[in-house]
Amino acid sequence: MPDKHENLEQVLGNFLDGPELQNAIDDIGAGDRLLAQNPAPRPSARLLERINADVASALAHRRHRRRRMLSIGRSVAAAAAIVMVASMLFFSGHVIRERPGTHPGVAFAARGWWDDNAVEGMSSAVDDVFQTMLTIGSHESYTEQQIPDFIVSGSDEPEFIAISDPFWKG
Amino acid sequence: MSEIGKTDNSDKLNEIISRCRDGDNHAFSQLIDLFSARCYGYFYRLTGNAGISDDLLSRLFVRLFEKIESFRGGSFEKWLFTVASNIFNDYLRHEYRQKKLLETHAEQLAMELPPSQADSEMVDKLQRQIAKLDDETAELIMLRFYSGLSFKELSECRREPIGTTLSKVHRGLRKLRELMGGTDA
Repeated sequence: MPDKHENLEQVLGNFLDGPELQNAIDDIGAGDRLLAQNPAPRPSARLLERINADVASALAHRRHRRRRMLSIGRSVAAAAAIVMVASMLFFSGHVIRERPGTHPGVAFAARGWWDDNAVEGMSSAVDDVFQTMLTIGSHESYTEQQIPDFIVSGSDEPEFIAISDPFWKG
Repeated sequence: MSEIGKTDNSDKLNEIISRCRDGDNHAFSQLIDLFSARCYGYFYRLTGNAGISDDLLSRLFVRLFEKIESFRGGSFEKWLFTVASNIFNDYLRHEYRQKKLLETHAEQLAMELPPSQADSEMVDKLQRQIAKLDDETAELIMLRFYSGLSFKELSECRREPIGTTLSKVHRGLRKLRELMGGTDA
């Protein structure tokens, strides 16, 4: 039962005209009535029940599968997050250790970790590095016994002796 | 036949389809109730066999369930009956292969085969006359009748010019009418 409110005269009129058009409209109309007057059997209630049960079962299976996929997805996301954090921490440490010229803050800045704790930690790290450099420069941390030989002996000593000699005063 | 599928019910149908996409079991049941008779009629008139029609209808709704998310709007009947048509054509191809296989082994199998279901089934006069049409014409006529598609939609489904579709349906229905004795009944 075609029912699209289709205007057969208009549709067929693009291809036929005159008596041919009218015959075609009559033939199609009569054919449609013939089919409508001889309806096909309907599906049995049992068949519909079976189809409904099949669909319900498939739906339950799909839900189960989706839940499982969701669970797997969450696990993968958690693992990925752990790997990312671990790699970030590793690279932060790596920058400090392997590239002393790089300011430690760069690693933090690049990752947007500018919270108070990070700033404080980084400042103290910078202070430590600065103090260490000063200490090395002034040898303050060395005791007499710890002063390296190159400082107190070797080729530098005659130079001091030579300078203390008053011959150069004329 | 169906009480739905008309334009004024399209909102209700869209709502049901939307709920089907969300995995609402009740919505699927509603969809089955709404379209099962038309789809079954389509399969039955093409196969003339209740058992095969049962099977094809089951396959259709299982596929509908699997593919409902790929429905992108537009005419649901067009989409549904395109799927139904594909299922019927798959069935025809399978039957053709089976037939060839049987022909090859006809002598060995002749003694073992049960009588065909179609032969043993009571079929009405119209069914017998439809069987005399060629497969393509019969399918086109039934597709148009049970889907309610317009000639334009039908030609789009078949990927052929509308004039070709019109001509095939016209000739097919005229022939069917002649086979039935030239009367409407």
